[in-house]
Amino acid sequence: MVACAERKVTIKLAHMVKPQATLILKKKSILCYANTPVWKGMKAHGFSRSAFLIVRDGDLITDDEILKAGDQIELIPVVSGG
Amino acid sequence: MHCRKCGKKAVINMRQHRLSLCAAHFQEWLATQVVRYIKKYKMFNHTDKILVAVSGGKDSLALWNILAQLGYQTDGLYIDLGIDEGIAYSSRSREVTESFALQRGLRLYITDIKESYGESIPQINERTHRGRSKPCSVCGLVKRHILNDFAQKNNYDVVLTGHNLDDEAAILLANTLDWSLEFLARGYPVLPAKPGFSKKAKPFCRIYERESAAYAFVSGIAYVESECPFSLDSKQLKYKRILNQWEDDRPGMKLRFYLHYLNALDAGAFPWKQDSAKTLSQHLCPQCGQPTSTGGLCTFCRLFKQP
Repeated sequence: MVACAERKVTIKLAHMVKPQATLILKKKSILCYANTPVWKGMKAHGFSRSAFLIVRDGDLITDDEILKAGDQIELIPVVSGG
Repeated sequence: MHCRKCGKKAVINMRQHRLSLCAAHFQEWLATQVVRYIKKYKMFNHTDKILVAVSGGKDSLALWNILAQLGYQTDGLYIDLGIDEGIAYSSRSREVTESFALQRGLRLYITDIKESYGESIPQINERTHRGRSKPCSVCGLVKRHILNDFAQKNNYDVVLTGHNLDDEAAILLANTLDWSLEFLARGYPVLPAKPGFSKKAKPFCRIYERESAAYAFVSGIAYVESECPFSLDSKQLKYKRILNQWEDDRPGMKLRFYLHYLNALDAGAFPWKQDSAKTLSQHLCPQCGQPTSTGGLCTFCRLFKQP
C-alpha cells in the first residue's frame, strides 16, 4: 500500500515539473506541455489545426511554432455555418 | 516558418498549397486568388452592379473588403433576422456590418424581417413545423428570397455570398451522403440569371475558411465570431468537423473533394438533372411575384401562411 501511494506521488510531481503553456479558447484556459509545436499541443486536446487561428501576443502565428513555457496562446475558432 | 516571398515571419501556413506567407503577402495572395476565380468561373466584371450579401461574419466582410479594394461596384445587403437568444446575435451582427460599411464609405442596405414581414426568425421557427425541426432551412429560405427580391427590384447584375470552400465541401458531403441529385447538379459556384432570378456567385468558393478568417484578422476587420444559436447543432457544422479531421491528416483533401466535383460537373455528371435545373418550369407566385416551381404560393409566402 505504501509503495503504491509513494509511486503515485512521484508520478504526479514529475508531471507538474514539465514546462507548460496555456491554450485559451473562448476565455477558457487549457494547460498543455511546452517545447512542442502548437499543433501538437492542440492535437493532444482534440483540437483540429484546420479549425482555428492561433494568436500569440496579439499576432497571428503558424501552428508549427514551438510552445514556450508560460506562453498564452489564443485559439480563435474559424468554423461557422448553419 | 517564414514567408516564401520575403522571408519575414509567416502568419499562415497553407499546407494544401505548401505555402506560408507573411501578413502583407497573404493579403495580396488572397486577393489575387479571388480575382482568379472570378475570371475562371466568369462570375462578373468591373462594369457589373454587384450586391454582396453581408452577415457580419468573417467571410462576407472579407469578400466585400477585397472587392471594394479592387474597385468593383459593390453594395451590401444585411438582413436583420431578429435573432437575440440572449446574446443579441442579430443586433451585434448589424452593428458590426454598419460600422464596417461606414468606415470604408460603402453603401449598405438593411432589411429587417420583423419590420417587413411581421415576424423574426425565432418567431417563425416557433410557429412552424419546418422551423422547429430545421431552423437553418427556414433561415436560408428567407435569406434567399429577400436577396433575390432585392436584387431584382434594384437591377443588380449579380448577387454574391461569402460561401467558402469549407461551406461548399460540407454541402457537397451532405448532398453526396443523401444522393441529392438535384442539389448536386446545382452546386456550381455560379448560377446564371433566369427569368425572375438574379445571377448568383461565390467568389470564395476555393478559399479555405481558415484563410478567410486569417484575412479578416490581419486586415483588422472586426467580425462576429459567435455562432448563430440556432446553428449549434446543425448538420453542416458536424460535416465541417469531420472534414477538418480528414484535412488534418491529408492536407488538401477538402479542396480536392470540391475540385473533383466541379470537374465531374464540367464533364456532364448528372446531365438530366443539370438540364432540369437550368430549365425549371417557373410559375409566378400570386403574392410576391417571384418564380416558383410548384404553382400557387411560393415556399416563402407559404411560410407566412402556415398556422
